[in-house]
Amino acid sequence: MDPSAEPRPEILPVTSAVPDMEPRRGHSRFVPGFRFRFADLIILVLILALAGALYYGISVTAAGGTSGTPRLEAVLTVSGEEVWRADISDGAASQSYQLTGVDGHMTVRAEAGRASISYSDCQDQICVLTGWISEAGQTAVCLPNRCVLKIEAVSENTGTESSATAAFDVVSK
Amino acid sequence: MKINARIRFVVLMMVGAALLSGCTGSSLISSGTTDSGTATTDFFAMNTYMTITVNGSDAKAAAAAAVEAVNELEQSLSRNITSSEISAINAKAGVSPVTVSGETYGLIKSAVEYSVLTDGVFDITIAPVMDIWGFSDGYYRVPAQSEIDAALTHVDYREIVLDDAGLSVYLPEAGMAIDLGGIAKGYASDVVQKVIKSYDVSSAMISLGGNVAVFGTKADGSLFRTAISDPQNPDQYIGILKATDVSVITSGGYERYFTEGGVTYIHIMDPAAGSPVNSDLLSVTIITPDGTEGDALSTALFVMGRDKAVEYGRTHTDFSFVLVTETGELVVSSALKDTFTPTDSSAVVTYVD
Repeated sequence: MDPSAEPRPEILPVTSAVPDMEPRRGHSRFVPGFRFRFADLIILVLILALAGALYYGISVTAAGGTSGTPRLEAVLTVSGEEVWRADISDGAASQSYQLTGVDGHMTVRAEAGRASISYSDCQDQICVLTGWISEAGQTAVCLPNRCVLKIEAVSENTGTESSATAAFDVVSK
Repeated sequence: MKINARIRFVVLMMVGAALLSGCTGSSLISSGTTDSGTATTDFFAMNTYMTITVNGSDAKAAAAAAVEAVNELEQSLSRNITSSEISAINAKAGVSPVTVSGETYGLIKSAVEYSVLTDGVFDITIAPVMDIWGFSDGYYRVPAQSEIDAALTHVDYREIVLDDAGLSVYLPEAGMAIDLGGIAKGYASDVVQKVIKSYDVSSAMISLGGNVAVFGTKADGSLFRTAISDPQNPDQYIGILKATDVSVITSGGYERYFTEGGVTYIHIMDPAAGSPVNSDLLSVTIITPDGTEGDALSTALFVMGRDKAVEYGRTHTDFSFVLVTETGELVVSSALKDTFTPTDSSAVVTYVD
């Protein structure tokens, strides 16, 4: 039967399902009874888009969330407990913090882009000699006072320490 | 019929799409599960601040065991702990040999071997000299020459009497003392790695007061990037080393020093002079799988100065180095050409054998 020879006796709506026993032009040999239509294309695109979104969502979550460059903060801990946290991103105000540790008084300063232990009563002054620290992962430590000043990169989304930090993983010094 | 076929087709496409995203995404999804844990712990020990990061299923247990191992080691080796084995040896100087644990004996013996290798430039009997300058307790002072001369009479590694059979150490003169500060952290990093590796872990990154050791690869499969501090601007770096299964240990005067009368006195001693060394080097970084060696040699090569350090590197090939000279020149072992990247592209870099 030649499909293009003459019009069908019945006029069918374009989207109706036609129970037809014989294969027609446009019908796939692989999925009998199915003809690829525009609606199917939409479904296919939606499925692939969903898969893509799923993939992206998983990869973003695995990376710990992202919204551009993480913000830098200076965090001060004494014997492992956090006692002070300061924003040191661009334009951040200068701040200082005073504390009294087991070995005496200390002053910590934070400003846009950097932080330091600016004063300590301790004997060896190693903490003060460290000077300004500015990159994620860097630390200034006062051992006698059990004090650690550390720069952290904080993710905007989750508010936690982001894995996307500086150009290095660890410092040999 | 038609609807069934359409449903079949849709299901087929969904399966196909899922497989597609599964193939490309699976490494991402499963990297979280095969390399399931990461544990980071930081603590104070051996007179410094330490950070240990472990990746792998047993990460948490491994990190905890590592901390315990370091604390135990400190109990044996610290000169500041009166019950330590080192304190016992020092207390019996000029009196009698002291029997110690196999581990402590082995470390002291290694220290003496490095003294032999470096012609005494590395010397653990330097303790009395460190004391008179105040580097042991932090009460810095410039001693009189007579004090220096007196302290120097007790400095000579060849005097240490070692008994391999009895595992005893004897300092034959009263006034002699040993300090393992120049080698203990490097040794500790080796112990930490061994402890961590005995657990089900894939990689670790260790910093014992700036003595770095890394093994394995990061979660994304890339090598660890170890930055080397710029001795002239310790907030900055002179370069990044991309490597694994190595210790990266740096010695320099820029962290521990005092100034008096306009003169800077650093904590690294010249055993021959009995005073802080005047080296033409600002820092020495040793790269080697052996942390104990890295620690001992970083101090020794710093004292040697640029030319002797280069010569030592030429004749001893089991390690690599990065030296920073007082002119800012970087002297780098040619073996590191592909793994070490200087930060400043205009820096003078000299590659040596």
